[in-house]
Amino acid sequence: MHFPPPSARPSAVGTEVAGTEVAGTEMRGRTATGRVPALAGWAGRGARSIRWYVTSLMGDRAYDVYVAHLAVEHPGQPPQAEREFWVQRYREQESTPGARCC
Amino acid sequence: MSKAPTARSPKPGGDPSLDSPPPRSVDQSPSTKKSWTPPKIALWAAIALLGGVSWTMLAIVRGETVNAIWFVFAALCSYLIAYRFYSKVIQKFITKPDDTRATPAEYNADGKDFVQTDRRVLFGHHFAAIAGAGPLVGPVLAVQMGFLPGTIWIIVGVIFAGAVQDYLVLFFSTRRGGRSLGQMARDELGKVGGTAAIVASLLIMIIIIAILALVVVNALAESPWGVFSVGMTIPIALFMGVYLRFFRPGRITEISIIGFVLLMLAIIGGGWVGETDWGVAIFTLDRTTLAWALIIYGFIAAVLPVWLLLAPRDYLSTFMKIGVIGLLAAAIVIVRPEISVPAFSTFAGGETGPVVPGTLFPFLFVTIACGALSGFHALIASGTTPKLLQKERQSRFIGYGGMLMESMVAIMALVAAVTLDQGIYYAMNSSAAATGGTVEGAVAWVNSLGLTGVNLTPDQLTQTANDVGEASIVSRTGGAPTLALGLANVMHQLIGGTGMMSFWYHFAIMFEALFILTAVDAGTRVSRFQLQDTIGNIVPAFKNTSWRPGVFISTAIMVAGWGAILLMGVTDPLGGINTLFPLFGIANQLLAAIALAVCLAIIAKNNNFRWLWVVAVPLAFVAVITISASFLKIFSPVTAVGYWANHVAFRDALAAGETSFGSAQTVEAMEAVVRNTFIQGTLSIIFVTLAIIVIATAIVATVRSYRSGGGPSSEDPRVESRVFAPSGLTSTPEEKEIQKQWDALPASQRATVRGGH
Repeated sequence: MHFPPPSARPSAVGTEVAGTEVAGTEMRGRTATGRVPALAGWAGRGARSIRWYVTSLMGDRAYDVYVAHLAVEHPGQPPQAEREFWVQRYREQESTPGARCC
Repeated sequence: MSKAPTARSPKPGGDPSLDSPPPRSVDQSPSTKKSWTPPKIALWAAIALLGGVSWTMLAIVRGETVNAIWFVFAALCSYLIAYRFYSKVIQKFITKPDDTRATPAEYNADGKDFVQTDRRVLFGHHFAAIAGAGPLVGPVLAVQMGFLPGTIWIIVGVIFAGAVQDYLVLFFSTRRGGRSLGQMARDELGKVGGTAAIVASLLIMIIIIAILALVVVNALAESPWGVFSVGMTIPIALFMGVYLRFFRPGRITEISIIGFVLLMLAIIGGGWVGETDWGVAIFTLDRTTLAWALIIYGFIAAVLPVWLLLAPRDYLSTFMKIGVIGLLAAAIVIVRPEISVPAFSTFAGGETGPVVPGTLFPFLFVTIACGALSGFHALIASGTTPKLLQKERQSRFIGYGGMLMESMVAIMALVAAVTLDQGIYYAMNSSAAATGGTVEGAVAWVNSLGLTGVNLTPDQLTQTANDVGEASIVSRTGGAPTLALGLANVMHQLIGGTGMMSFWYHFAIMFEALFILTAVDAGTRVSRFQLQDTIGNIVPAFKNTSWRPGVFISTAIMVAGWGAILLMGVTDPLGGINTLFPLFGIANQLLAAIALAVCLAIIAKNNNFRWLWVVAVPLAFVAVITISASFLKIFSPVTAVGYWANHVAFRDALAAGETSFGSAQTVEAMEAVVRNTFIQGTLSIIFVTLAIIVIATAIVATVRSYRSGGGPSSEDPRVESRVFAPSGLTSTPEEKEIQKQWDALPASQRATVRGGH
């Protein structure tokens, strides 16, 4: 008997595999001239970073990560349709339950 | 997808398509070490100074009151110093991470379970998985001993025990392909130790679910508002599940925001419903009814498909967790409440505390488990997180840093609880057996405790109950209502004024219930899975997890296990929480002892005896705590502390033909006490026996390694890494430089470097 391997939480998300990470401190944006565009650009980057972080954390990007993974590791292999991907993901979670802490 | 690690050497010149790939790790050789610059020294001196001043304000300066901000500073400065210095010592001399070595997320990459995850995202993930209701409840109950013992234990404990455990387990599991704690225990401790560890974890799971469920039942009893709002989370979660399944698969953030809005409406709606006659009639439930409701719910939730209830509830829970904790931290810093609780209360020395009985040592250390040292984390730090970790060096940020963050949550829960008036605190947390459950009874009881500066009036109790929209706040034990009142007490000063107090109170009850219900559901599933696996050795059909009868039978057995303890808790004439909570802490610390014992054996195998104390000291401490607490629970002659002393006292009273004894007013109640103390006493004996077996086998393994100068490593073979990633929260200049070189490569080549088949 063994501990069931806790499944990867459904929100498991990778950095963009193709290396197009856009995030917080690593964000490299366009250079805006003038104070107002600079501010707008800064706010826009901030908003995008937050969006990237929250959607990564919650797991929205799991399908994209999977597709990107296939494209790099198994080029030519057609990815599962998004709906099926999620159905299967939850089914796998069912057979490998993971604990939540107290 | 390749499960077997295949070495692909990215050495310069090894691959004709690359003349010289950028480095995969910052140069760690001593010659490149940065020296301490004056600004850096000044910064750390300032942090140390602020920390020192804060500790002085908390521990030595004895004014009438102390400001809550000192708790925040004392904790933050201590954490920063521990993270910057102590965790680096562990990194340098014990874990010795190597970023040129691929992690399981890289060499086993499958795009689903094994995925290289951005360290900041993984930090959020790991934190959401380890932090739940535990760090919110324990510190609240420990306030009985005054604010200082709990504060010191939470901060010192996390630095030298809790965070060390989390970090080491995460790192060692990463080096072993993400193996679970149970598997590592079997590898390192042998068959006996490994089996004891697994049996212990199953029992611990049952105890923890039961006591968390008891906390929820206590928080919702006789509270139509709470029952309605928390009940509404079920249809909300179902709606979210259906939405994600049939309308917009994968739009998790979107539906979580919708779910959150619905949740807020459910809280506001609960306020209206709780004021109507029909609402009161339908949703006012007593504790026994609620316990049964929870048992039935637990069974159904654990056999329903994951996508329908568990997953959406988990999303909501994650969403709430990050938000609420941020909100509470901001509120404490902005409001800066004054605290009049004494540093040490009169109960710190005695054994007769009304909230949790027993002396400070060892019971403080089992009352506060999560937040200082939580064995349960070892189950998350092995298995789940290692499969997502991108670089070995990141394990310090995620393992050690994540636990520091949980500790901060525990400190904030403690602060929220100590902002409350002492009289109200004891009225809420003394069992109904003491207060009689009435305002008059509570006032008489609390004023009879002889606490300095406490003069509770009936008005205070009724007024507070009114403010939070409850019929009564007397004997709302379990910690959750106290935390909710404390949080409402802080938050209403920031947003909404007194009129919003009832909203904040139920908001807090709601999120605690949400965490706990998720833990109940997930825990039932995990333990069922283990049970199925065990029965499967005798009846093979049970191994098949999609065989419905097997699922139903094993779920029913597990639910019956925790359900029985839950029912025992709600019907306990002695109060329930005060008798059962020590078992929760002992169970959790026992799991910590197991995890630390595994780490001890691994470090010994690496022949690193010079630094063995880093694990040996916390292990020895937690061993002393769990074993002495268990022994007191088994052997103490004080009936408030010892289960068997109480058992014998009530049995003798029954034999002598008495019809009431202590707080049990009837023969049935006396029989219940005899039964409950028997079960609790037996569980204590089982726990302590398992703990001793696991620790003994770890010591045997360590001595064996010492004699033979180490042992065969159970690490997976080394695989060269082909990626680079920074290791901390922010990138250092050296890391930025390397990142630039990687970014300069064309995307196609970067992909090649990342390794293809």
